[in-house]
Amino acid sequence: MTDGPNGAVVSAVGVSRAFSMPAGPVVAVRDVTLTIAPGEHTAIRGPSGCGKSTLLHILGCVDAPTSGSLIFDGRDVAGLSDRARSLLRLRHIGFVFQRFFLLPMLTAAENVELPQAEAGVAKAERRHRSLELLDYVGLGARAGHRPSQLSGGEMQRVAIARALANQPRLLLADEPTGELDQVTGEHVAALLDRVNADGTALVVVTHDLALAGRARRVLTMRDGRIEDEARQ
Amino acid sequence: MRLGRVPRKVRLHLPDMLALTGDPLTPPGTETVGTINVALADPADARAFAADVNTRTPGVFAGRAIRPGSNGTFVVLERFHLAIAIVTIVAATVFLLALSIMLVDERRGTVGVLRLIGLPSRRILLQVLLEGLLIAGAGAAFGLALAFVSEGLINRFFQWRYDTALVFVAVTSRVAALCVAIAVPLGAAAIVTASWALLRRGALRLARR
Amino acid sequence: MRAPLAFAWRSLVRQPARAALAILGVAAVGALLLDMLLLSEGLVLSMRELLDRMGFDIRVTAVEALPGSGPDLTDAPAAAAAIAALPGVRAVRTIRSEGVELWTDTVHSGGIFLGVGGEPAQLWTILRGRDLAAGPELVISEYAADLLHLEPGDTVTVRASCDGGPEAPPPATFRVAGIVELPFDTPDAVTAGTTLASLEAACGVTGGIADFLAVASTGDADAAAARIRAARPDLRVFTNDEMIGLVQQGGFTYFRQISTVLTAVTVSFALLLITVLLTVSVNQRLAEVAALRALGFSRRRVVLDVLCESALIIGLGGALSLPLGLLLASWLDTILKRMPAIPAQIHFFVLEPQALAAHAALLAATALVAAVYPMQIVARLPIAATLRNEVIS
Repeated sequence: MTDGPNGAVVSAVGVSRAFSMPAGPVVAVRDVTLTIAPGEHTAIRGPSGCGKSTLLHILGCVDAPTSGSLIFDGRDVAGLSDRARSLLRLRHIGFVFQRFFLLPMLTAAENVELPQAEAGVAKAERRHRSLELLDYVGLGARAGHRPSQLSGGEMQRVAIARALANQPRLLLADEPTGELDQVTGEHVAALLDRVNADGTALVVVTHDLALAGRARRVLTMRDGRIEDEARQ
Repeated sequence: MRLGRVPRKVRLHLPDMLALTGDPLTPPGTETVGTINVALADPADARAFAADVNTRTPGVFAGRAIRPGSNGTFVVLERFHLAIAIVTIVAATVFLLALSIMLVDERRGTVGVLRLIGLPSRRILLQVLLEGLLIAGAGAAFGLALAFVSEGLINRFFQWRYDTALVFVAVTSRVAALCVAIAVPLGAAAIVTASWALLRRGALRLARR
Repeated sequence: MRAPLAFAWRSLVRQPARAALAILGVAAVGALLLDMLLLSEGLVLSMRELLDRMGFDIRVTAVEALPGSGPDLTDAPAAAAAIAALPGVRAVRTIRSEGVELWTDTVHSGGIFLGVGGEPAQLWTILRGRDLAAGPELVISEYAADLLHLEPGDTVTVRASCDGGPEAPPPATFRVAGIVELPFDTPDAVTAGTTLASLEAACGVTGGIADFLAVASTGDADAAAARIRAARPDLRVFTNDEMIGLVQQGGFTYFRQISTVLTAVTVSFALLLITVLLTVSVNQRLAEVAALRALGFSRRRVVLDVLCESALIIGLGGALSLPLGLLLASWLDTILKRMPAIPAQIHFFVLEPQALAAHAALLAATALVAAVYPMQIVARLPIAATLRNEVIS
């Protein structure tokens, strides 16, 4: 896949997302226009309920905007089937969740192998790459451990390795340090920096000012809108 | 060879039957009968009595009759149904236990917090038992209601399907009471067993997701 | 398909107690289902097997009734000779059964006296001794041999009581040629078999009467039966297939009915419980499924995972249910065979490929239908909302 016409990995153009609620529709994201360039490091911050996770889900093609369009690598995502969107996520987007969501019955290496297996990578190759990735996140010695045998920080590092398994162009992290103590959070943040430095575009949604401060571009959201954009 | 035959019987008192079928030329008191049924004071003597009659009266064969409650067709069928009921109860118990484990597992966090607050296992188990009894009671009541509703439907369907007047399902008060007596303790026991397995784990491990 | 199956296996063994109980539950239900399928045709198959084993494929009676349950044939020798002369007929036996009393020095018992006309008689299987030869000889059932303490070579006094004969014919002495197994004997039947001529001699009657004729065709039973019907329109002719049809119209339908009812109940039970198990299991890991979807797993793949899990539970339980079902069938057969007047060699549960195929098909359908609702949950799972809810909870 190549970059879009404007060189962006993903572009949201005037996207809004409304949810139907019993008390009436709630608009989580309002008319947001945003472009993520290759290798860019962006943080989205803002108070709870301001729409930052919803925006992240839209950028990651797991949620569809009510209005506006999303262009991923030059293609309008709205026109893609569910299967095509799944393939797009599988090959080009990595997700890191606040609660890790590692599969408890699989070892760390097997968790990292999983998206590769789904993408059809040969067994030997995916095993090699999984061990390489676990080494990369500093857990080469824990490849055979189950999630229940790992600490929170270790689990998140495995989750990052899993997200990188198919060499995505865009890594989306939703409160990646939300469940971790400060020191462990620092380690995870440093790892994410390294991933970005190695060329993967990174979008982090966080409350954590220190984590947001590591990004070159910080977007502040309020009431579904991007209220402020700072570059450092 | 008589297995498939549909029996058709008419029962009459012997004098009435003789009046209907008797030959006027046969002197009274000389008619023949096929079988004479004998009730013994002690049924355990049947074999000895039969042997005695056979020795004393050539031309007559005495044999021990099938004891009511031993091998009569309906007694055998009742045993057959009982065997099937036992298998069904075993299967239901296994499933119930599996479901209980899943349901209890869903509440492991709550149980962990209660343990951390300081509630003893016994107190939690008692609460679970009461809850289990309530659920099992409600389940049994629902099952009975379902049985009563389906009784008519099943009978009507199979009577139509096989063109028979046989009653296939009869939910009697005895059957209903038996079902409740089995279902309620079984349901409560399944939930308590599943909870007990959960409570054996440490409170911290339970509370941590 | 291998990857989803392996993944489903890992999901299953993640909760070993739960998985083991689900598989055991399916095994118990599957065993009952198998037994009901065996029961639905068991008696008929067993009956057919016995009929075929006797080596005769046509029965001729006086009226439209099962052999032995209607009036006698009154011109049996003439009918037998006429039928034997027809093309397509290999052998004809005349069968007559009467009451009998048997004595030894110490024991006395009543029973059934079977006379077989035509050579060789062989309606029975010799267990000990030999078959009938010339002279007043008889063969007796194993139970009769036990009761009367008789062995081949012993003599026994016989008083037969035949329709149309004297009320008290003189006793006759017979030599026991062999101990035999008769196909339709009940376990406690005192049965003695001899030639038709010896039976008639013991009864003090001349020939002519028989319960039925047993006919062996040269291969095409239907054609032979048609020829017999054409030659003797006054008689009723049944091939083994028609005999089975007659039997099915009678008392055997009860077991087919109960088997149908219990098959329906068993399958519904399994369906309901597997659906509940899978639904609860899927609901417990919705967030995981949503995360997998976010990572790029297709909808088809996560749906297939649920289907494979259902197939694994039912497949493993179903495989276990086969030995369990056969054990259970043998127990239930023992119970049912205690019914009065059931021949010892008749079985209520007969293993046959068709029942196994039906068992597999019903279980496969159950696996598929049971997975429909949980598959629907997974297929319709809103990824973003599920991830959001998980974080909020």
